Amino acid sequence: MIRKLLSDYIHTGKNTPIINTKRGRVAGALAWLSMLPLWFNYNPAISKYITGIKNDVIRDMILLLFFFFVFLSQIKHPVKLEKMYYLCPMDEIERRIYLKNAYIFKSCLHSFLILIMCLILYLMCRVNFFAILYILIDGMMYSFLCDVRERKCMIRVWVIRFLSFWSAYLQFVLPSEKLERGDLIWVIGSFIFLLLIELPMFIRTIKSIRKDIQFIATCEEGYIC
Amino acid sequence: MIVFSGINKGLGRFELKDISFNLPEGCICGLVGRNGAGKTTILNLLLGLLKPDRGEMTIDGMSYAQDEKRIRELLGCVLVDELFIPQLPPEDNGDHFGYFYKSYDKESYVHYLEQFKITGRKSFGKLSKGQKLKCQFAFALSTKPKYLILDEPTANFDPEFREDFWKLIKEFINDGTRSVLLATHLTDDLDRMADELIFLDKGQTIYTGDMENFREHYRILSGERYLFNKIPKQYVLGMEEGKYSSRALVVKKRSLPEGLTSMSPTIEDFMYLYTRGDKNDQKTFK
Repeated sequence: MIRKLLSDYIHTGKNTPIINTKRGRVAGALAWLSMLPLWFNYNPAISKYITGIKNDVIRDMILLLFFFFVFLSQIKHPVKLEKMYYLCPMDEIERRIYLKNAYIFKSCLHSFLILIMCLILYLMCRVNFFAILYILIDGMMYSFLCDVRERKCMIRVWVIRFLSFWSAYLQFVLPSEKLERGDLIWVIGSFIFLLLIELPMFIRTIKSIRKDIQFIATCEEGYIC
Repeated sequence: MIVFSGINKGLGRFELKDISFNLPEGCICGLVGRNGAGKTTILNLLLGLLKPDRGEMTIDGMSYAQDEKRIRELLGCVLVDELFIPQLPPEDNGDHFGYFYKSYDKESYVHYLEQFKITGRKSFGKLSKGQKLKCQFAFALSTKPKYLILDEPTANFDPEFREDFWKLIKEFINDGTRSVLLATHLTDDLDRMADELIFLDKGQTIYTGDMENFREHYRILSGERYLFNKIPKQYVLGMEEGKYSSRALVVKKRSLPEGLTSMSPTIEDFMYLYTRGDKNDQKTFK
């Protein structure tokens, strides 16, 4: 089954150049937007006012690139069934299970990328443990935000993607060594934000993804969709 | 046997109205009609891709609601859409989707591919349109279906392969337990090969039944225009008026006016003349 899912992942992505799609253009715009913190960080005219953020190009680029790869994978490989799957001998329940497995497989693949990113950041870039812990949890949630239906663009998913990336990025304000009182408040505040804002949004998104999977597992809905 | 009874399906402005027909075992059935007549919608309903709004459809006594998986084992299809994964070679596509079929026979699939001269590891997406259809046809045959559903396959086949295709279709139904439903615009072959015919127009069945009955039921008359005035209007389904003589598609009656030449219609003549006589309202004969 894993071989089949992997083959599906590799071969059934969207073939059209990503920039030719509406989502691709949004992705491109977001990618440029994500470059903004780097520009703020490294522009000498501005960075002197933002004293809390460390000038670590490699660290920022690692975060940006890994988040972007996951994002690209999410939009290039939406959870859906090609028409042939609706013609193969499967009933609705089997199609739903297949879609669920595909979704979990893709999400795990993204989580694996996030895990590698966190390891690199922790071991090579000496990022603070609490920051890494936050980025890891935040990144894991980000990993599960796969696109399910091509037609339906969930604003919530875009918002949570945006919040996830920025809140992860802002964890770099923490010093790599001992935390001071202000830093601890930042850590607690971040985790409260994670628990009270991001997590409920994430749970609601997962629920709607589950609904979408059920929706596209039925022949007519999935085929027309 | 495939049974459609009173099937209705609305898709936007288009509506399939009260479609009823039986497709028995051991026959080739042609599904014909002009563009937008509802052929593909019927195929999609038959393949379970769409659900009817009203009416009942059974395949060997089973319905999609209860026995979807068993029904799908019985159906093999070749559709205009490219069903295979473009990045994979045909052989790998066979492995990929054959996994879901109990009766998929890889050897037979490879054999058909060789027979159709599709060899090598070229990806499916890089094949020509005709080759793609041949791959799908090979796959459909290798899953050993009971019913073969084909949507416009012959249009993209070269003349040489078209003969082979019909030979394979004949072999397929030879044992009398399997059937083929073929939607097409190229009706010449159907005239020779089809046992059953479903003619659609504007989402309605105009004719359903066997070809013999079709040839008996309708006539094409040709002769001078004034002679057609002797035929009651409700029997004339369509007419083409020429400078010196006219041609009309009529429902066969006991006696036809003298002076007119009568012949059995081909499917193409029927389609052509019927669509010319669109203004008639009383045209549905079953």
